[in-house]
Amino acid sequence: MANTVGPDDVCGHIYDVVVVGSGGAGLRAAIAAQRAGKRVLVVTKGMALHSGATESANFSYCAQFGYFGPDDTSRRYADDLLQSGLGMARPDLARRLAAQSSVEAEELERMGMPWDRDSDGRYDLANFAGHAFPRAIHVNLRTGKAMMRALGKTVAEAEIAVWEYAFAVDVAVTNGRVAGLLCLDIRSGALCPVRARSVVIATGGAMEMFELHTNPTDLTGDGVALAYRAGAALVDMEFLQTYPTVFVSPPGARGVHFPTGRLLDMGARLVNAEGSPFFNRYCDGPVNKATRDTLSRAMAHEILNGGGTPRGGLFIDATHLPADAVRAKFVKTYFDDLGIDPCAEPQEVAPAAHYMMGGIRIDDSCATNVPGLFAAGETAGGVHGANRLTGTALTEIIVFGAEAGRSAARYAESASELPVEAEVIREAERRLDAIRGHATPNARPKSGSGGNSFRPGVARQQVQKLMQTEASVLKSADSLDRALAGLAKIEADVLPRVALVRAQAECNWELVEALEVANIVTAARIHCAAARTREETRGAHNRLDFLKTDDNCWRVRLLLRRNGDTVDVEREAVEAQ
Amino acid sequence: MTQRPIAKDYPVVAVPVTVQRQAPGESDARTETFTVEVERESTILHLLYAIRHTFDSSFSFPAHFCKLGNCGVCALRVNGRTQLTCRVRVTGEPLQIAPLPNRKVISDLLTDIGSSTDL
Repeated sequence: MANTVGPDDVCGHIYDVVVVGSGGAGLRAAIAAQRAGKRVLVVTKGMALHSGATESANFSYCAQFGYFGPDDTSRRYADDLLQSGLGMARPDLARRLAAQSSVEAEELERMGMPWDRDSDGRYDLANFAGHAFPRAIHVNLRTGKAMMRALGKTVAEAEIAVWEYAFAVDVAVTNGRVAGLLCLDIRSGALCPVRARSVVIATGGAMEMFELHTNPTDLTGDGVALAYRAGAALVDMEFLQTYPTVFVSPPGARGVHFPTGRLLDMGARLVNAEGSPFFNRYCDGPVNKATRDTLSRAMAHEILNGGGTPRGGLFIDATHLPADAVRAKFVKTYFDDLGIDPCAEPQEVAPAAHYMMGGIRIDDSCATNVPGLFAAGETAGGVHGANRLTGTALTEIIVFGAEAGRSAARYAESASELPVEAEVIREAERRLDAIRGHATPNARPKSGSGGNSFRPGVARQQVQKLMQTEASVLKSADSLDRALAGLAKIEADVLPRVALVRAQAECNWELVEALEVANIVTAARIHCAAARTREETRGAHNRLDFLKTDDNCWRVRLLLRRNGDTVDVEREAVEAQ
Repeated sequence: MTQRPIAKDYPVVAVPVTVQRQAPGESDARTETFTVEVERESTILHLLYAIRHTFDSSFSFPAHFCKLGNCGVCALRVNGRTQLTCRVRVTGEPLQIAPLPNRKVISDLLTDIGSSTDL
């Protein structure tokens, strides 16, 4: 059992390192900081040790062990990362990930991670496209869950304090340096300033900006928004990876990814709403050899050209294949429970957001440009550039989680404690009061946007619908201008009028949702600003009005910073690779 | 050209749902019944979100949708059986939903299991 704490335990103390987020990156950071002898607190808006996306990762952690001769080096792994990143990945971060991948895998094993072994007792390495050698270690098909279990056990044994159901409202910055974190204790409704010498943000991605995505629903861009408000720069925010075949229906399976690679290899057909194959209208070559981004692009084009279902889906049809062979390809129980049988009927799927390559800009010690503020995992950017190499997300969160924890601990050695300024606390209180003050106790239960107010859930749906329509897989200047205008309108007209049905202090999940929606809008605006600026197609960034990659003009990264109410976009030269 | 695939309709059904309620700090639980409108073939987890969004923002339950069916967080007692709510489909039949037994209730259906690594 983890050492869970509450606001009474936390207020009044000074922590060396406060970690926001309790997925893989956050817990690894906390363990590293605690091992450096520091006083550590983990803050998580959800259930301790069971929040975030790590637990949803089913397969692999790619690491370099040197099993395959003199060419099997960490340098070669870094080169594969850089190649996948299409000129945008950061060499220093790629090399750090590659060099630390096996060290951290072994450390996870010491924490209790039961990596699968082959008959010779070596790590069982699977091979993925884009990797020069087999590198993917795993624990059955439950790698993320096993990882969380090992990290959770270590956090518990080290008696690291975990404050669950605590929402990070703002990073407190005093004289340009981190002074602490303002947290809403969801259970009591109290706003608690936590004093901290350093803060590590590890809150994952921002996929809740879209209607259809493969992530858990708590990935609401909290870290991106916290860092942005605190003055940190973001990078690569235009690059969002999509997964090609995500269930559009049945309703219970919306957003669940359907791993169709093996089905397509067996001869399953990818067809439009009329039942016609379409892939070769957009791409050459066989559909079963297409990479995720190529397949996603072709499918998105077909949907855009009117080939989709009313729900915006296409179909994977495996009904002509031998049922036993199809069923053997899946862990069936979950699909059975959801009523999915690929043998019985074509499955309605569409490409959907899967992973955020961009995020908070870090150096190779995970430091941001705000002294005392660090970031790691999906919420940080730069490791993957324009496209992520398969099997590297778990590696990223662990390698950089550990790095962030160590760096924050080092920083805390010499950082003097700073007061959290009263005005910063008052500002956060005003924000919360403004939302609570709009409580409409007499609102008709079903009214979503009656009168002058909007329920947070309705505001979230508005953002998601806008982003899904205008800024998902295929974008253009026109669609992004519509998205940006729509987001500006939501920010000006909807967010200030978000109103709760009840204003109760305790367990007010609608208040939490209102805070999340504001973060989603911030992340969406930054994504659209970056995507609007980059006038080319590269990796996961697809512009209908600029279909080609343009190395002459766009071998640059986009840095994004807050400038009052506008997102400043600055170009940064890309290193020679 | 093959046979045209069918994009199925999922009509909205009104489901009578009785859930256990217990405010933070209260020692006694009560029940409350809602008639919740959701698409057929949604899951019970979606239905719980619908209660929160439609009727009561304080309605507490283990709200984490991992989309993989295996994190274990959303487990509750559904009609007397422990079930992962993300894996039980809504048919329109009435539902009785209670928290996991032998756990300290934080609020309503949300119990203090977060610090367990044994889910």
